Amino acid sequence: MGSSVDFIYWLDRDMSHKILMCLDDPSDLVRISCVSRSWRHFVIGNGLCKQLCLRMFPQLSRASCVAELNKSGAKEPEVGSSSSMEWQALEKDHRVYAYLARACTSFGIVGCIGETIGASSTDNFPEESIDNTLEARDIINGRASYWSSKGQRNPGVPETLTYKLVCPICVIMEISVHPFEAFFQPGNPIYSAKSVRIKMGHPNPSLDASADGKYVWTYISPEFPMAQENELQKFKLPEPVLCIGGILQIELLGRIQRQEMDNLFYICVSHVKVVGRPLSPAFGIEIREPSSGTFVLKCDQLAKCPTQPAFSNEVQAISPDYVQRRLRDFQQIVTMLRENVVQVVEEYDWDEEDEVDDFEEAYAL
Amino acid sequence: MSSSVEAITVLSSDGDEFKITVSAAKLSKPLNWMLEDVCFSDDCDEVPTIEVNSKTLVKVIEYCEKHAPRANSGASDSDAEELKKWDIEFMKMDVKDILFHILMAANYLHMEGLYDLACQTAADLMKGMTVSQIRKIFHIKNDFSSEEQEQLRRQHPGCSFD
Repeated sequence: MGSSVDFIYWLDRDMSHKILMCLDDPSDLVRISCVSRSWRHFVIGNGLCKQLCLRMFPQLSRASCVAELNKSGAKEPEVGSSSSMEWQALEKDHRVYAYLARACTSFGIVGCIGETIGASSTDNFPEESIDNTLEARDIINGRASYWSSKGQRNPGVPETLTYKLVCPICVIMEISVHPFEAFFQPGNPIYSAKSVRIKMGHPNPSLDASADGKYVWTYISPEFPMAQENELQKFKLPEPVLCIGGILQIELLGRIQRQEMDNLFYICVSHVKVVGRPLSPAFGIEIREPSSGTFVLKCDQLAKCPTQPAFSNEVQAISPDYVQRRLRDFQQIVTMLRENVVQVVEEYDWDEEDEVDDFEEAYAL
Repeated sequence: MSSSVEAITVLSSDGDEFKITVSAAKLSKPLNWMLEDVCFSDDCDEVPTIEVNSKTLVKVIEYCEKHAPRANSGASDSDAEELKKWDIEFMKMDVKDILFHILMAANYLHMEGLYDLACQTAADLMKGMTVSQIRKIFHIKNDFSSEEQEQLRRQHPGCSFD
């Protein structure tokens, strides 16, 4: 073998390929592509960055092609380039997927819910709307804040909560659901579900879409059992999932709590949190064919993106609020102000009987 | 082949003789075929040649003898754990001298387990290494021009080169 152990030179293609695909961090592949001309040629020519990304995120298999926006180096030729169209396409793939791989592991981890889309059923609207699940607290301004399903005789009837994520392309890692404890009912029943399942996908723009065909689901998680406990319950996905299309649905499967008053089963949730890495504006998508879900992956390396090397609890705690702001921001300030006013008044004018009556009236599910 | 034969003799590409037990030889498909085709009884003096050099063949046979009992009978979890540790120790070898010879021998002898192990070992050598460290490990000359290197640095801002 001489003094060099340049295995890409010495071994046949399949063996070198197998060695490099034993790597699991795309940044290793990027470094390997900078070792020498022949190594760069091998990594780019075999589309190894793309293959590694596909292994990490099978959802990318429906990317029909990649497009680069605002490319800075459009004028400068790629290192060691040959001019064929095919080679240029391979180089583009290498650049985009290498950057995507880096984005998927280094962009900041934040709350990813952008807004609510809707619940499969709501008992009292808007008092028990899905919008309440964006708020972590379960009492706001002295009032309980939660979403409640309609009551059902059959405990097997499922419910869904559907959300739009902050951007159409996010890496989702963890979903948390806080079942609601009806502290105003005798026995403090907790209206949790038996289990939860997470679906991710994109809107189905075809006109003949039926009610449940409004979205095309490209990922369905395993079922996670839920505890009947008043706490924010974390459901960590087995692998981070690339949500393409920005729609996330939480399926609540099976009811366990009956309401004494009407003997019907309900599910109530006080808070939902989705944690991951939004990839926009560096990356965007354009759905090509809604039925098959094929899309164009757009990449803009110049777009400013939140790079954050490590997970930080602080950021996780603060960021969901940042993301969910807009109108709600204002509402919260108003609520806070009103809360303070009420507290001041209550100190001087506390009428226990009235309060209890109000409570029961307002909070039957 | 007579059932009384427990070990066979093979020649390396350097012409040295090596003994390998029948159960260990079964880990390799080509060796297994050889066992079926060639007469290994005492009155037959044909010694098959394996196109692997002596230094590499010693290691390959060592691996086969260690893995044969488990491959032939199945093993408990604790055995599997122990074997994994043994594999890691076994693979602590010079890259230049022997790792890639083992890889090629495992490929030639159709030994999936050893082949996977050697590939993973080679990949592990590169994990987390900078570009120049990888060049050092494999004795590779940097053949990019200085302008090209500048361009690579610009293109991969998060990549550690030195």
